[in-house]
Amino acid sequence: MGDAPPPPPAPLVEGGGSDGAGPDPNSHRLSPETVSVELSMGGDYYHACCGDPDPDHKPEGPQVPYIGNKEPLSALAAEFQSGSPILQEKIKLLGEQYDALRRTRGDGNCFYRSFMFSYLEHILETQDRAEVERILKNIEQCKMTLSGLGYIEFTFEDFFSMFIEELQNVLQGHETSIGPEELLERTRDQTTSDYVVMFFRFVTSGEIQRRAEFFEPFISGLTNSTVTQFCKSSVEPMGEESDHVHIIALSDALGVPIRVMYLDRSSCDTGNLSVNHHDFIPAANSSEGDAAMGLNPAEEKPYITLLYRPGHYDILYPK
Amino acid sequence: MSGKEDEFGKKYRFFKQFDTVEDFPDHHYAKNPVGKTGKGWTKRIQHDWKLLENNLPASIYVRVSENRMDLLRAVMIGPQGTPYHDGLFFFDAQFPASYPARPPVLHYQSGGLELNPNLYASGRVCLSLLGTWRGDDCENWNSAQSTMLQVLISIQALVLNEKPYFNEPGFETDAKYANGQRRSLEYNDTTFQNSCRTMLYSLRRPPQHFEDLVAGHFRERGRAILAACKYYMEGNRVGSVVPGEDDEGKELEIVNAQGPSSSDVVKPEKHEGAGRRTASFKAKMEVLFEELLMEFNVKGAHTRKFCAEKLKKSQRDAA
Repeated sequence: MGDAPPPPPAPLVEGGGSDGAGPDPNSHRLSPETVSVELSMGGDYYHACCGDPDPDHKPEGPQVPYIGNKEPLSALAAEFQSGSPILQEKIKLLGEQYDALRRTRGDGNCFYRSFMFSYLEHILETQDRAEVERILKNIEQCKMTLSGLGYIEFTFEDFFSMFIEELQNVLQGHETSIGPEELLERTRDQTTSDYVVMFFRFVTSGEIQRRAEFFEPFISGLTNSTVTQFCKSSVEPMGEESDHVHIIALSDALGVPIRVMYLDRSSCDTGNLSVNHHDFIPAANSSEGDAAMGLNPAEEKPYITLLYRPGHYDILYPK
Repeated sequence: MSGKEDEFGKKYRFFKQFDTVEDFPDHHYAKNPVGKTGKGWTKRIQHDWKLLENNLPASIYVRVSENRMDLLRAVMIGPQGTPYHDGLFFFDAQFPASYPARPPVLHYQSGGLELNPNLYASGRVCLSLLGTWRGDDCENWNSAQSTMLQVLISIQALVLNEKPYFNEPGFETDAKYANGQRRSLEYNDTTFQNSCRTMLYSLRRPPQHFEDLVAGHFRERGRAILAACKYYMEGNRVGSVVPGEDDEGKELEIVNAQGPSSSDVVKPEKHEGAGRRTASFKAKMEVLFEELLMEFNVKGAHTRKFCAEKLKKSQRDAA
């Protein structure tokens, strides 16, 4: 057992005889292009694949929980104290409408986790049973969509049940009802949280594939893949980040409007700085539920507001 | 002696490819409880078990535990024609609480040896399917399609291959250069030695529930392994077919052999494989050969030929 592991294959220095012909294949690894390729693959790439000597002891330092505590918006201002003046100004503007935020972990699932918490918290606070009835119908529809696309129910039903269970838990008046603290606890619990994220991922994937024609132009602009490939590789797997396409699809499929505030460095020439936002309003035809409720979805103000910073979503609370 | 051999042989022949065991006290994740698991978790793992039970290729053996459904141990036999041939490679796996939203976690029982650019000395297994490697999108874990069976087959097919040196990202482009090919051959030399060391480790301390397989496998393959050691020491390429020992008669394995070819096999005097193999390869192989011979003898492999040679040599040395 005392054998020391041998060193890795050492690059041979001398260019022995006939081998001297080609360029040194090692030299390219030092070129700037290669370095930038690695960096562009995301911070996790280097860490996960090259830098982590012992994978079983992931750095467990002070990590942001899946869903953080509610913080005053001033916390955000503090973060950008020495940052771009445009961002500082925008945060000030945000402060006119919003007074708190809740951070989420930046693990590629932040959009879904923000949505999960925000939606469940909304139901917990409003006890809007009509909304629960409505979304349950949409969920049933989503199930049928997936089955229709050839997904085996067995592979997604548990994720669906988990969300429905959470939905019922936040409704008060029965044995398993939960309060705000428990909701936070449950959305921080890995199994519950991951299962619900997977529920959203499948719903999103199903919606994109169901309306493949509509989504196709967006997707082919983003990647070189077909709609199905895109769903398999960039929607369904945990940790794959979300873009406009995902938000549109999820909002449409569940019939839930979402507002996204964009905190970026863009500004316009007129000097009037404003924080861009986009409202994702569910397409009217995306579910029969809306029509039945007699609501004109376009007039519905989103009760879910997310703060977008390039690459990340958090939850915002209006005043 | 022969009674013991029969017992070994019988246990080996009846060693099931897939079986459940009570318990895994020496499992890498034995002291790492999975925590609270959902309803779907159990169902999904049982589904994985079924798939494994019915579809495992002949060279992979799996044990799972009824009491700890999160744990699984697999061993794969290294494919012929590779530096891993006839080796036994053990993997301890754990299904996390949020399986199948998250992929299983795998630990390779390395004994501190790097066997492959994807199998670290620390036990880390780098595979895009496991999320421990940034791979092509379609190779990532997808809870609707990916299974444990797929993970094991991928390791065997993608990782334990003929030229593992080129598994290293960036190195694959070296393949077209003579330098790269030479480094690949050197890597194979080192890898084969590490594979031999791994054999010794398994023989001396077989992982629980695989004792009979380890004993039986090396009893059956011992002679071929020793013959390969000798053949490589004579200057032949690691992984090439040993004349008279190749039970499958795959002469085709010897392709693009730029160094020693099968024609100069006979073993006149000991020439250093085309002058480029380091002397230390042979020196180390000789030590490993002796150790393997001893262990295989204990297990009852047919090593008479080698024992006789050894005897002759020691007599010659004494004279």
